[in-house]
Amino acid sequence: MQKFKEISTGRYDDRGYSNEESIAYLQLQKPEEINAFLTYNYGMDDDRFPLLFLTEGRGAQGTKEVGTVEWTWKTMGRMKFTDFVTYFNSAITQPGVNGTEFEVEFSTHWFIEQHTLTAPDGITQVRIQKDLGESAHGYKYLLKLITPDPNAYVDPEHLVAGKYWSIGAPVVSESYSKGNRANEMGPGAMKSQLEFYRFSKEIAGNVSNAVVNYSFQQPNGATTNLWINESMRQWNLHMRVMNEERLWKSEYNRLADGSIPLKDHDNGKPIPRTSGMLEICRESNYDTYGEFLTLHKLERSVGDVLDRDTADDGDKNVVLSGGKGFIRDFQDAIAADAKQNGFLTPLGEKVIQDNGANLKYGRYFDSYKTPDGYTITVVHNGYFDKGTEAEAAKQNGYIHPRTGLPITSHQACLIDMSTHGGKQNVRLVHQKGQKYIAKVYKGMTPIPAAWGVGDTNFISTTVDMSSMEIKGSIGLQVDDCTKMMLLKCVL
Amino acid sequence: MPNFGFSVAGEKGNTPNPDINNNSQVNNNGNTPAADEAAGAAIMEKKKQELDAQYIDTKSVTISLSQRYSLYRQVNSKTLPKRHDVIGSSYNSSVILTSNKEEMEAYMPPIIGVSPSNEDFVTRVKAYFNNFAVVVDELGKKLNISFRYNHYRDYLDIKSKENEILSRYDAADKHDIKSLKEALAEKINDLNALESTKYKYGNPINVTDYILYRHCLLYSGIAKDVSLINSDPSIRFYIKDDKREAENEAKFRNAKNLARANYVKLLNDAELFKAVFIDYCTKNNIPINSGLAMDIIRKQELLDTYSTNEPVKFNRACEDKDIILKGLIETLIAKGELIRATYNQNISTASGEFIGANMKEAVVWFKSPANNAMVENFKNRLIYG
Repeated sequence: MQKFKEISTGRYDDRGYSNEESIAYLQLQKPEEINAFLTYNYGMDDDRFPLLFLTEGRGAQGTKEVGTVEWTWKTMGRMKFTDFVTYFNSAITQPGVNGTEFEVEFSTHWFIEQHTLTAPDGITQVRIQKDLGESAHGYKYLLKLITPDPNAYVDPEHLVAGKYWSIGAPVVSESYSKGNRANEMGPGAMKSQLEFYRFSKEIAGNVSNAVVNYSFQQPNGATTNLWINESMRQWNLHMRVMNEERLWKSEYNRLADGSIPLKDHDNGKPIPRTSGMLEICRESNYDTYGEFLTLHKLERSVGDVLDRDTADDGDKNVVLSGGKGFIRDFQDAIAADAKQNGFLTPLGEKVIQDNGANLKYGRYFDSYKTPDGYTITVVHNGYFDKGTEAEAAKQNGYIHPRTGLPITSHQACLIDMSTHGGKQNVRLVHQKGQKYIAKVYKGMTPIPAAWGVGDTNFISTTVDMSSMEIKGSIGLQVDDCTKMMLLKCVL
Repeated sequence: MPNFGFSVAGEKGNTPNPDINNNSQVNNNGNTPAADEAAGAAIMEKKKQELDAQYIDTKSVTISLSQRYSLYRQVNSKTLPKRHDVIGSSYNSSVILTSNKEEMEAYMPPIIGVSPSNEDFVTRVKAYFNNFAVVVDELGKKLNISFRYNHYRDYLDIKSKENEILSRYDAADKHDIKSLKEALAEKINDLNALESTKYKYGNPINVTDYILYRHCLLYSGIAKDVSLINSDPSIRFYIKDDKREAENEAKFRNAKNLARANYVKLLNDAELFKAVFIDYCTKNNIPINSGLAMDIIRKQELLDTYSTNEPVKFNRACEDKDIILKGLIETLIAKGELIRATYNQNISTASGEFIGANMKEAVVWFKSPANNAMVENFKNRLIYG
């Protein structure tokens, strides 16, 4: 069995501040190294921030500032034409026979007197003879079969609680008919709230000027031997990871009475949390898949969501943001369907390519056009593969049995990134004046250039330390969540 | 082969006695032994026919929404579109259920429209299990899981095994979430194993519903015990056996009726009333001394509400033959005549003499004739102390 030679293992220092001891502890001043340039085995960790990229990354289009912790927005659903039965007296075995009228209760007052109703079979039609108003199980209506056949009656199966009926055109007598009423749908207001964060970076002694034997790569491609620069890169990475993940995992926590049970232990003040992407997706559409993802499942799950109570005025392009596991499942689903349909030869020609003297195997599907015109494109979401939850899943052994990837990798979010009225559907929200505040608590320790603030002769503590304090506000705004969905593999 | 409690002629211990096997003799019933034997044989034949006859076990389960809504939904309940809750597929369900070749060959052809001899059979079966997308709304999803047994005896056999599994689960230690999950995992495993043998004895009335039920048993998003709902945020549904639910409802109704009768009985027996009230105080963390100091109307109100809300506990107290003695012991503890240890249930006298490790042992001590004098002494202290 091949065994990898271990050159060095990563070390972690959780003391919460940086000084000379950190450098020694992390063994960064060890002399004599063949290659002083540090290899970033995991890259620069810059593929972990899909939500920040889609919002903050788009500047003003993807962000919004509000004055208060809570904010509201107006929504309008699609006009509905159906309602479901809540009660029918099952002792009546032949409702409507011999032209008799019968009472049925529906969940809302949406149906209108004089209008016709069609039963779940799509054939049986009745007329609403009388709107009997509010009742024990919703709203009661007096119905009569339209067919003149005296033997005909409504199948009681159609009147079982939960069966949906649809409203049809009103029919009245030639003369002396009275008017009815109109249904109207108004916009509703929704609300969410911001959450606040703090990050602190404390340094002591002369760490700002400490030089180590390693060359650290900078985001601009240059290298540096200053430890503080690498220390700051790590801190910034930590903040970005935390902020990205909060946008996924955060759960709204304000009760209906306006109170927030989560309180700060230090000051007793409430700690608000915003509604994150996973909560919004779960609360909208949530489905699971199993051993394999099938094209039928994809079409059905995604198709259901796209067709549900939405106005199709967009370009019908939707994005499934998934982990590597999901991307493989997506590829396998389409390949399996193609094989089942006998498209082996053309598929083979595309997948196996002539690479000069050699062959290259491997081209993959990343999008699918549904029969009703939607194009579903899969994009990689690093959070599902490399986020903290994914790391923990790997360590806890929550692994997909077939792929060996963490189970979190086998999930995807349908994120509606469309723009309506010039506004992006998903945006970051900040509080005015508290979007991002960075301050330095100045002590004897020199302020490093990496902190981006000038040094002075004034200090605010006699202790040989300085610290950088970050405070900010952040919230996630999704105007229309009807096309959001979470589709995940469960064991 | 089990005889279901019926003796079969010719079996050991049931051989007719030649001395009394005489048609001319008349037994106590006024029948001859031969007539008795013939009647017995007829009964046996009838029983055998009953056991051989087809039988339909009518059952249904309902998958309901756990209705654990996020606070985000709660504050936006009037405007947020209705949640689309779907029972999807799962890895384990697909792997476990489709691995039983014979069962799949028995049930799946009418669902997928392909015979087991078709080369695509396995692929189609797998696809079926991976395509589940069953929408569940507030009214729940009722599944008809009735099963037609070819022979009644098979039903009895399966039923008895199922009862064993359920009894084992009922008796299992479920005091914390870990033990509850373990007991539940064992129950689900056993139930699934038992269900997977049923294809040998008959077929489901509604195969589609039955297969979905089998999937639901293994689907992690469905709680098989409602007490799991609060501990696992991934649970979106729960399953309830409509028949058992109806039986439990009937049992609860009976308990409520009995509680009414017991409450009236208490009103006519002051000593019993006091003892049950003390039991109520103990169970509801009401200090006994202040409880006993309440006026009688307040006490009656509390016990009346208790009997309505907790009829089973109330009836258990009323029917406990030692309840008066337990009331005496609790009162002695409340008055400081007896001491109950803080960190265990040991009960001892104020002078340190050990009475019992718990209430049960203390009752035995109080009943012992050897302790009569001390018991009388305690009683007198309560009266005159």
